[in-house]
Amino acid sequence: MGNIWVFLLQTLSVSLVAAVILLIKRLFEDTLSPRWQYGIWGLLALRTLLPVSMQRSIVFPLPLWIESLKTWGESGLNSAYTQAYEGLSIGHVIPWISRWPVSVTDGLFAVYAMGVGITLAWYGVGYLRLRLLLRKGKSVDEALAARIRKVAEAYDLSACPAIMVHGLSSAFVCGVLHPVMAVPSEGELDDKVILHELLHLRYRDGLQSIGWCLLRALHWCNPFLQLVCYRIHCDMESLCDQRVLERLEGEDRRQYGTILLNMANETYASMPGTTSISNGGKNISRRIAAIVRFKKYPKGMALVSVCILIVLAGPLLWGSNYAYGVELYEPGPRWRLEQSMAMTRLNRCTTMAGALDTYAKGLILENGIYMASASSLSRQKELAAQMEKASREEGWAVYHLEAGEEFDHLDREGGYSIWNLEKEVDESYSALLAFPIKYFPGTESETEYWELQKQSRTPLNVTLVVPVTVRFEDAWVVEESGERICTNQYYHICEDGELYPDGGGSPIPFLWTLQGEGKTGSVQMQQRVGYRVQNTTYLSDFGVSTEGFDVSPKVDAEFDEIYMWSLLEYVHDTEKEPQGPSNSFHCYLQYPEAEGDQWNTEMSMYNYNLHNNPWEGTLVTTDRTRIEPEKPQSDESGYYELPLQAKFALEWDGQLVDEILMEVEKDGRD
Amino acid sequence: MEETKLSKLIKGIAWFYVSIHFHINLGPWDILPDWGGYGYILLALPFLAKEASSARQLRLLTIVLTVWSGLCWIFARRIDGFPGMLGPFGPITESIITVITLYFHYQLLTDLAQIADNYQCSSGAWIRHLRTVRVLIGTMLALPISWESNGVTRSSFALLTVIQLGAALSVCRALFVLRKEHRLQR
Repeated sequence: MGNIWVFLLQTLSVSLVAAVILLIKRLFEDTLSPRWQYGIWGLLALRTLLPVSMQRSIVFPLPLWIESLKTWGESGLNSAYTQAYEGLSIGHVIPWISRWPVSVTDGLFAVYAMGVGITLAWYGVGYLRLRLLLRKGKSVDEALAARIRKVAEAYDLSACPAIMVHGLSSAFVCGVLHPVMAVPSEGELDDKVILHELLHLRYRDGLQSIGWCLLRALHWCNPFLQLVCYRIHCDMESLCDQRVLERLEGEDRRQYGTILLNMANETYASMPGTTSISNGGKNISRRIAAIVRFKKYPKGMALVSVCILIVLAGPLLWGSNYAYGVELYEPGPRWRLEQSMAMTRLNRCTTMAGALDTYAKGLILENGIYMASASSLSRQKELAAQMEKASREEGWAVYHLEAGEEFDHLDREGGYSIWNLEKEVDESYSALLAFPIKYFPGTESETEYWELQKQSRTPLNVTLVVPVTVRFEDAWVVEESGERICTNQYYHICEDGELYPDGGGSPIPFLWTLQGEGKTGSVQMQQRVGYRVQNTTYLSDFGVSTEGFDVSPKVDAEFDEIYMWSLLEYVHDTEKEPQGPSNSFHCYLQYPEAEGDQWNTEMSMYNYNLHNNPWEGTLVTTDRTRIEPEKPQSDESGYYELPLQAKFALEWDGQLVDEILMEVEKDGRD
Repeated sequence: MEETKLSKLIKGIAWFYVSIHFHINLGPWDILPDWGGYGYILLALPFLAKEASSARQLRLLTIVLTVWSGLCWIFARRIDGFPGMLGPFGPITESIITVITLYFHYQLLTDLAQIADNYQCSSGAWIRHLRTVRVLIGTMLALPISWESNGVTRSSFALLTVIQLGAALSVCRALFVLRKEHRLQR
C-alpha cells in the first residue's frame, strides 16, 4: 500500500464488509449461536489482509469513486507516491513509504503510516508495562493455586501460573507463549471466573486479540472500524461465556450471570495478548442478553452455520459480480469523461487477446474510452485531452476519438481480424489488425462504391490493415507501429472494367516462406497466421435470429481459434524424375509434434484425378490448418510459436513417391 | 395442541414445499407464488412453536423471505427482476437472501424432524437426512461458479438441480408419511 488513495479504498472496502456482517448478524442474532456470531468476523479478518479488488466491489463502485477522486485530487500536485493518471494498485495491505513526501496527499499518507507505527508501538509498550507490572505481583497462595488446578482438571483444561496483583478489579490472562493469570489480591475469586479465563487460554483468545489489535492499528483513523473492533471483542467474550455455560449446570449458570452483572460498573482497557472476563460495563449488558438466549439457540445448526459462512465468503472477500461502470464506456456528458477515464485505468486488459480486441473495437466505434483501456497509462492524459477537444470544438459526444479517415467507410458488422502475431526481440509482439472497408480505392463516394459493387455482383471487401505492437506494461497495451494500408488485393479490376475476386489472394502479407527440394521436384510454402476472438452474437428480432458482431470490449479475452493459412507451390522436376503420375495425384502436409520426433499428419490438402485433366507438372494450392490454442506451443500470452518445419508428402497413383522437408528461409525468420 | 391441527399443519408445509419448487405461470404471473407459501409458514409458526419451541425464532427470517418473494413476484415482469432494480445492492442482497433461505429450510426441517421424534414417528431421521442434502446442494448452487462456462459445469449444475428437486419431492413425501403416521397414532 503506497499512497493515501489505496488506503482510502482499502479502509472503505473493509468498512463496507463490516457493515454487511453487522446486518447479517442482526438477522441471525436469535438463531445462530455465539460461535457463529464470533466466527463470521473471521471473514472480516481475511478481508482486512486481502488487497481490495479493483474490478469488483461488494456494494458501491468504490474503486471507481476513489480513482476519480484521485485524478481530481492529484491534478497539479506532482506527488511522489502516485500520479493523476496512474492506476490504483494494491500489492499488500501494509503501508510502505518509499520516498520523502512532496505533496499534501503524500504528507497525509506519511501521517497515516506513522499513525500505524505509533499505534503498534503504543500496544507494544502497553503490553511490556503490563508484563513488568505482573513481575512485581506475588505468587498466589497454595490454596488458590490448588483451586485453579482443580478447576482445570475438572473441565479438562490446561492451567497456567497465577500472579496476585494489588488493585485489580477482575482476573485476566496475559501472554501467548508464556501466559500468566493475573488475579486481584482483594476479594474472593470465583471458580467460574477461573473457568472463564482458562477457556480463554484453551482457545488461544490472547493470540486472536493480537490479530484484532493489528486490524485496529492498520485502520487507526477509521472510527467505524474501531467500534467494530469493540464489537468483535464483545463477541469473543460472549463466545467464552457460552463455553462456560455449556460446562455449568443449574444454579451455577445463574450465579455466572450475577458475576457478570456485578462487573457492569468496571472500566476496561484492552491490550493485545490479554483476555479478561470484564470488558466494560456497556458490553456486559450485551453479554447478559446473549446468556438469556443461551437455551433458545436451536440445536444441531453446525452444518448450516458453516454453509452460511461458505456462501458469504465469495461476495464478502472478493466482491459481488455486479458490473459497475459499464455505462461509462458509452457516450455521455462531458463532465463524465474523468470518470470514464478512471474506469479505463481500473479495467485494464489482462490478456494480449483482450488488448487487441479492445483496441480494435475502439477503432471500429471511434471510442476513445475503449482505446484508452488498451493503451499505455502514459497516453491517458493525451487521449482525454483529444476527446475533450473533439467534444468542445466539433460537438462530438465525449467518448469520440477520431480513428482516421480510413475508418469513415468501415463495415462495422464485419468486425476485425488479427494476423501474423510475432514475438519481437524486446519481448513485445507485432501483429496486424484487419478491418473490412466499404470503400474501394479510386471511388470518390459511397454511391460510386455501391455502383461498383453492383457491377461486380460480389461484395467488395476491401481491407484496411493496421500494424500494431502489443506489450505488457501494467497490463497489456496496444500501440500502432506503422503506416495503415488500405489494400484492394482481394479484388481487382479487369481490363474490361469488371471486378472479379483475385482467387486465393489476401491483403495480409505472408509471415514467412518454407522451402524444400525433393527427389521429384521442389516445393515452396508461404504462411500467415490468423487469430480469432469469439465475437459473434445472436440477436433475436420478432422470432428471427440474426448473427451480429459483439462490439463490447473483452479485456480478458482469450484467442478462441488460431488458423495457419498456407499457399503452396510444387513444381515437378522432370529431369530428376521424368515419370510423372498417370492416374491420380495426392499430397498432404505434416507438421512436427510439440514433443518428440513424431510428425502430425494433417488432412489431405489435394486430391487430383488425372483421367480428364492431364498432369502439367505444377501444383498451386492452399491449406488452412486450425490450431488448438491450448496446445503446449502457446505461451501464457496466447502467442503461438509456429513450427519452423513441415513435410510435403506426395503420392502418385497410390504410391508414396516423395517426402520433401521444408524449412523456413534464412531471411524469413530465425 | 389438537392433533388434527398438527396434521393439517404438516400437510400445509408439504404443499408449501411443492409450491416453492414448482411454478405454474399465467402470462408473467406465477399462480403458485412463493410469498403465499412463506406467508402460510409465518401464520403457522405459533402453532409449530408449541411442538418445537425453536420454530419461534424463524419469525423474522420468514417475514424477510415473504416480503422478498412478494417483491420478486410483483416485479417479475421486469427483465432483470426485482434484484436488478436494486442496482449495486442487488447481488449482496441476493446473497443474504440465499443464506436466510438456507437457514430457514434447515431449521424448519429440523423442527419437523423433532416433532416426528416427539410422536415416535419413523420419518424423523429421513427428514433430517433430506435437510442435510438440501443444505449441501443449496450451498453448492450458491457458490460463485460460472455454471455456463463449459460442459462439465453445465452438467454439474443440471445434476445438482435434479438432486435438489428430488430432495424437495422426497421432503413432501416424508411429510405426508409423517402426517399419516401421526394420524394412525391418533
